Amino acid sequence: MTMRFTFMSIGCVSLLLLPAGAYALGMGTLYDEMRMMTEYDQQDFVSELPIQKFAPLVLGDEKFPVEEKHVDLSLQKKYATVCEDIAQTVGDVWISECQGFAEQLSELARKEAWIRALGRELQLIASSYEPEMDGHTGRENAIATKLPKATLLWQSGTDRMTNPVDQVRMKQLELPDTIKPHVQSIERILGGMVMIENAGETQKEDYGELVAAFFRYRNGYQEVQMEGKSAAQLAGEEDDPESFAYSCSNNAANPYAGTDLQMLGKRWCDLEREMHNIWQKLPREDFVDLGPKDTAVFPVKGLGVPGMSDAVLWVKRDDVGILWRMPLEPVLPMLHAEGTPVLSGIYPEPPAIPAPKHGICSHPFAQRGYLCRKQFVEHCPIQGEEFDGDENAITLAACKPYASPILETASGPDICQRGGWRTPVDLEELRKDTPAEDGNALSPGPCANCVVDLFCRDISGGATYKKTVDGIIPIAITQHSIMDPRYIIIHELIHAQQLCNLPPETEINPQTNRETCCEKEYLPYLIACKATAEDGLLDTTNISIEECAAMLANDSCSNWEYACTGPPADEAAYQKRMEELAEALKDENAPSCQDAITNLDGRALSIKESLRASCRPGCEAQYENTIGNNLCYIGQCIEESLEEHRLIPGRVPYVTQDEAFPWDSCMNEDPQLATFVTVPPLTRTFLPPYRGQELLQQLDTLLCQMNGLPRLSPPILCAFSPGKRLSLPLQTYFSTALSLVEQDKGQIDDTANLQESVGNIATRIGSTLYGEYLEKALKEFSELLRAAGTFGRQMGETAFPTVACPRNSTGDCEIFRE
Amino acid sequence: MRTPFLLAIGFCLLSFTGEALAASCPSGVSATVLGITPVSSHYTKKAIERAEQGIQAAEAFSDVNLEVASLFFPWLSEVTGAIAELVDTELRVSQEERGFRESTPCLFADLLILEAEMEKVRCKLSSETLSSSSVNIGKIAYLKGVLRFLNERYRNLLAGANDPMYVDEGWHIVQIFEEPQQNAGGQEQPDPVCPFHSNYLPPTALGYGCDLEAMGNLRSIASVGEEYSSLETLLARKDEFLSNVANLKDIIMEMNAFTGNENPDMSHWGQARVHREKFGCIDSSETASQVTGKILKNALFKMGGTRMEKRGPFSFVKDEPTLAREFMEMRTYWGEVRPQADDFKYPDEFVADADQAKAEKREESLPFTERVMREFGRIFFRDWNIRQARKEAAIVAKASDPYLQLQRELAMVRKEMRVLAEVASKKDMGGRNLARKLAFFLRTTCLFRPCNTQLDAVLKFVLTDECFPYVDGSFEDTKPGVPKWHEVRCKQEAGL
Repeated sequence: MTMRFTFMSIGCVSLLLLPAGAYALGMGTLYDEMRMMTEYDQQDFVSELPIQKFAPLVLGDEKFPVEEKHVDLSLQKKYATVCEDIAQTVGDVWISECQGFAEQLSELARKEAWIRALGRELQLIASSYEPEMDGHTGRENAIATKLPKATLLWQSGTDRMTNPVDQVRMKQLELPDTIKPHVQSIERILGGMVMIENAGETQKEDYGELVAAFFRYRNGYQEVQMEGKSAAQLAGEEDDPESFAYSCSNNAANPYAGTDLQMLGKRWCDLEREMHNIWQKLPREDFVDLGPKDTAVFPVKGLGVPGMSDAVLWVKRDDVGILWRMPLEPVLPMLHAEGTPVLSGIYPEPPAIPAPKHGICSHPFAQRGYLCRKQFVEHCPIQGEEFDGDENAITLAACKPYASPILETASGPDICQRGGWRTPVDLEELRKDTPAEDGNALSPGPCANCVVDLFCRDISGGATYKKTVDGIIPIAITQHSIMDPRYIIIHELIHAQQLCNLPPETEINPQTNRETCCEKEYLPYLIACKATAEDGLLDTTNISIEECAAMLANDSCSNWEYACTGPPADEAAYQKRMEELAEALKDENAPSCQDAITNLDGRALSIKESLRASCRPGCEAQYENTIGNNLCYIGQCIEESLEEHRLIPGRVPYVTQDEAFPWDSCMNEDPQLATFVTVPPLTRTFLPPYRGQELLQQLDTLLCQMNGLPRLSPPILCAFSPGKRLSLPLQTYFSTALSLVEQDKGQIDDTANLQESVGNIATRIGSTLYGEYLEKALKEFSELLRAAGTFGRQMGETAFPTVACPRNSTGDCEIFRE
Repeated sequence: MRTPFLLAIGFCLLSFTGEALAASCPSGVSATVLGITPVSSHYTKKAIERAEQGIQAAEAFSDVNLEVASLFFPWLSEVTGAIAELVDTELRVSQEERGFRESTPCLFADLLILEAEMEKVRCKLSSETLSSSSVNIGKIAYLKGVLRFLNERYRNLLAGANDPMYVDEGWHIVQIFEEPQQNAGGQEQPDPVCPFHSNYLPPTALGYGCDLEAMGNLRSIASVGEEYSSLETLLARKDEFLSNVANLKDIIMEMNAFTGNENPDMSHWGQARVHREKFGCIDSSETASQVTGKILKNALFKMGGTRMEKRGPFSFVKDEPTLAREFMEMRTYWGEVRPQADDFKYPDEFVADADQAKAEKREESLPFTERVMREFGRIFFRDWNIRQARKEAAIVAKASDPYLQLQRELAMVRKEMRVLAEVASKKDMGGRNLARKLAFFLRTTCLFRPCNTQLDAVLKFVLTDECFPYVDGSFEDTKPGVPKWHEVRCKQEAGL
């Protein structure tokens, strides 16, 4: 026994000599932690504390009472020791049976350890995908400065004006010193969650609860508190955020109670109370200038929690929470609770089957996911019919869209054409527009397609008139409208932007079609409402910018009821909201019409400047150097190049339409080059007939005809007929004989001539055949060449004008025709 | 023995002509033929007239009693000899055989008339001599002269009917039966007479030749009548066709106007054919104005252009065998008349007077043997020339004809190629012109932008002629690996 004890103590000492904190997490650097964990996984002769506590609860019975210390011993295969120990308690046991039992014990411990290792691995995999925002792990990130900078860098001026989200402004404040004691008590509470036990003769620590607490309150304690509360309760509490009632009970509605997932729903009320105390002590006076959607962030405070090197406390304007920067350890399933084993496989009651399209976040597992976290959703004011989307789409939150998303343009995307992104270059020029009607004193100049003439008039609501043939768009501004003149100017200037590149006398909004009317009115109102929101007019209500724009567009498209939003569920509520809006938009300090025109708002100046074209030679463009603005410039340049820079305005080679603009230039008639040039059909060639036999017969015939005879067969019979002389003899025999010889000679000569000529005859006949064969082909070929020559010649005779073609031609074209 | 034999021949001749001895002369076919007006009024008719005058003159001879002197006048042999002369194999058989193939009906008719006249004379001869109790030497002599005269005219007509250059040398010889004619107007040499008449030629589209008008009087001759009717049918068909396609002319002209093609010469479209005639000799002064006004045609006549027709009466396509044979004969004739070498020339064969004088001097001192040898030499070389000419003629067509035919076929291609070449290579035509104008036009819109450099380069290239060597073939002159001449040169000249 003593030997064993010595041996065991030596073993324990050696174990103790292992690097300190072998079972402690979060000691040292990340590398050390990872190394510990890997070693931990490989070790299979020391079990974790939860397993150590769990195994005896499961396996122990009267026959073999298992104690916690037996677990490690079994893992180390010290079955003899285990059996001795058990024998001491219950008396003699069969060695083999006991050994078998010890093996079971070790097997159980090993399996549980494997499960836990798997859980940890999954957690590590998930963690590796969620580093901090800038990609470096374990580093602090000053979100307060980086987020606004990023948005500023990327946004263009038009984005700023048209984006219906009033930007979330963030303020960074210092934590007051009064929270220090609370921080300390939080540290203490957290430290107390570490279970340290000595059972089994080794000191083991269990961080399960600590990890669970960090996971639970990572999104803030108020969010935890909002769980399980109905919408009405939430609304009631929201009404008075200052007296946000704190309520917690340790058993408050843990949906996982009794299961091995109970840590996921557990609440630590003392922790929550301390966090609530901290929240109450925040300097509320510094929140005054913040809008309801703005937030204030405080620097994170490191927590000195044993076993976790990177635990922090984060504080925001509306919530407090604790955070573990590098979550290496997951919330592992609970193995034991208060002396009873928690057997897995027990699930809570299945949730009710949700209605269609309403269900993804009702599932207990899905509920914990990122997509199902609590979202701050825009208030959907117009509670009309249900949002009717695609059946197979997963919809987390939706509001019915307002106006038609279709924007019609004359040609091309019209990038950055609504809203202002440029800064004024020539203020003098812009100042020429006086509050009175300026008429022809203004002119678009070479750098713009239009110029705006703002003037004051006593009408209800602003009005934009048709562009005149000189390019002037008259705009009447009034003081009798729901918005004050500054915003009316912005609204009407957007209308001017819609008109600027269209032909003169184009109707802006003929109010013939509901969708067109909405589309034409919605965007200007959106920009104007955004402007009012930026100026803080909408702060007194919770009407969103889109809602403002939609309601005002309804107003403008008066030919239809609720033209742009559709009929609301509750007309009275709609009216009430409309009145609310009108009330909010009233501003006693609003400038008069003349003032508004004379001292144009910066945004209006920017919009006016953006009426000019970007890419005409000799025209300056000035803008704030953000990525978005640069993209606006490049995009407009490309569009103008494609649409305007061409040899003949109105004729774009990149589109298939003809005569894109009705005021097209003085183009010459189609010269009809080579219209009547006919290319000869390539008919089949033919071989002329070669009648060889006939030719030879011809020759024979000739031979015989030369001698006055018909064709005889064989032709040699024609060669000589002695009857000629013999039937007509001469006076003397001698002369007759001589004449016979000469007759023969004469005929031979002729025959010989013919025979010697046969080669020539054959050649000539052959070349004639060849010529016949070629003649047709050569004729067609020469016609082809003639066609080619005609093409070439007529091509060269194309006349080019010496005067550039006009863009708007209203006069006669004679000077452009040659 | 000889005389009865010849008498028998004479009878055979009578039977050979297929006529029975008739009381009046002539009879049968000949009589009808003699009633026909000859085609050629300047030659045949005149010949007939002269012959008739001769006959009249012969008739005028009164009967002369048989005198002693006349006993020694071999009158029978004279007669038979005269008739035997008519049996001229060379004329009657060879040339007439050829004439059968090549003569038109008009020529045939005229020849037939001459023959009929000869038959008349012969008949008179035979009736005078054989049926008369007395011998009229003068009449026989006159008739013999007329017969010989007619034979000669027959020969000349056969030889020269198609050849306006052929002059009847013997026309102006005063025959035995004629009075010497007074020279009128102090002419030294009477005008040459040629038997040529355009009516003897095959009918042409222009109006000449042995067409219906010319053959009109000759229809009583059976074969000519058949010829006439078939020609009439052919012409009727032709006129019907032309009337069917009468609208075509306007359509052709309109279409050519659309397509920019040239109109073919349609000045004679649908015109009625008017019969024209030309006859007699053609000399250089007359040819230019009378016939066509072009010197080319004159040469054609001189070389026998009318002597040979392109299509014989037996072929629609070119009558190659006949033409080739005629060509061979012509070349052989040229070989025959080729001048001898200087050593073998007679003094008068030299062209230049100085050479002639030298030769005459040499001639005086030439020994006899050398003269004889010279004769042999001349004969030898003449034969050699003839043989060589024949051999040459055999290959001339083979060597040159294909090329000439092809050249003719390619003429229209060459014309179009020339136009195309101009369009492709000239600076102010075609693609170059367009590129030049377009580049300039683009420059006016380019204005201070980088495209200016490119347009400048384009203009430089287009305006440099060395950069367009495609038509003069210089771009073919390359060796592999060596930069093309025109590329290097082009870059240099254009300054690129």
